[in-house]
Amino acid sequence: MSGPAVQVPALECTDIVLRALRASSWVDNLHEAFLLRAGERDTGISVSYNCSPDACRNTLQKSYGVVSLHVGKVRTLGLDVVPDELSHANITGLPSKEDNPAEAEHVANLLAKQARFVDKGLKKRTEDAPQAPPSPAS
Amino acid sequence: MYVYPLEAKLVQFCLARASATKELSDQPLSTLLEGLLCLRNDSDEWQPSEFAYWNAVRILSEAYSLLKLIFPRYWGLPSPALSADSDGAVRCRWVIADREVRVNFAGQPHLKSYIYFEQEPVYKTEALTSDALARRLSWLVER
Repeated sequence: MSGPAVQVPALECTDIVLRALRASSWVDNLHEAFLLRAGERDTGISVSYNCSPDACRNTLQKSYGVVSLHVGKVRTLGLDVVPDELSHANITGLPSKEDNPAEAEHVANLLAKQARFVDKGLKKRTEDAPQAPPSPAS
Repeated sequence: MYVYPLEAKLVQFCLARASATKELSDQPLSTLLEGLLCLRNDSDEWQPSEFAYWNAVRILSEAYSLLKLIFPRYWGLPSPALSADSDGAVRCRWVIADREVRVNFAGQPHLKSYIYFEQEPVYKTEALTSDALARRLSWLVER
């Protein structure tokens, strides 16, 4: 995202964010969901908040599950969760595979260990379902 | 950590021997190559780039052949989890107990390919070559 379009309050450590799983392989290899991809290096990893798992999943054409993360626990890893929309945020501070692959893989592992599944199984986007704001990086 | 003294000449010798005895077609390697092919043909998911795919085929074939010839515990190696990412990379992951090895075959020549290994609290990356991968996979199965 290019920057906050609206003023959004910072997330509290007690807040929960959701990450939709874009690939089926992420379900059994959850760390893959927390590796920065080329288009995410400047923004971070896309997450949703203040919405249901279904709304989070509807930011994608199809998804294979949703995991939740505690904002406070993400911050204990030296990362941050920065909202840019009323129900969209980015996990920032992640090392990139290109700059520091050892740290990128390790931090992805730590995030995967903290994540909890809140929904599993293939789901395709339905037009009439509730939607969180679209996330370009997901 | 003990590092096996694999020299380039030994690598060449082993590969030549593997080819000569047709040992490249053994079961774990065949299963792995079939998995890569499925990944390449899966239109429902991200697909590996040609660069990543052929690099993976070459390095994994060489590494598995070396493992089979040099390290007798090769048969304890599980099939890796295979995936592709949005940048066209091929990703492999082997886990045995608290040891884990991942390989990133970059989607493009200018992106990084590497081996990552972890046994808490130690984690590192190393340059991706077939002999380095053979050594690292032998570390995974040795006890």
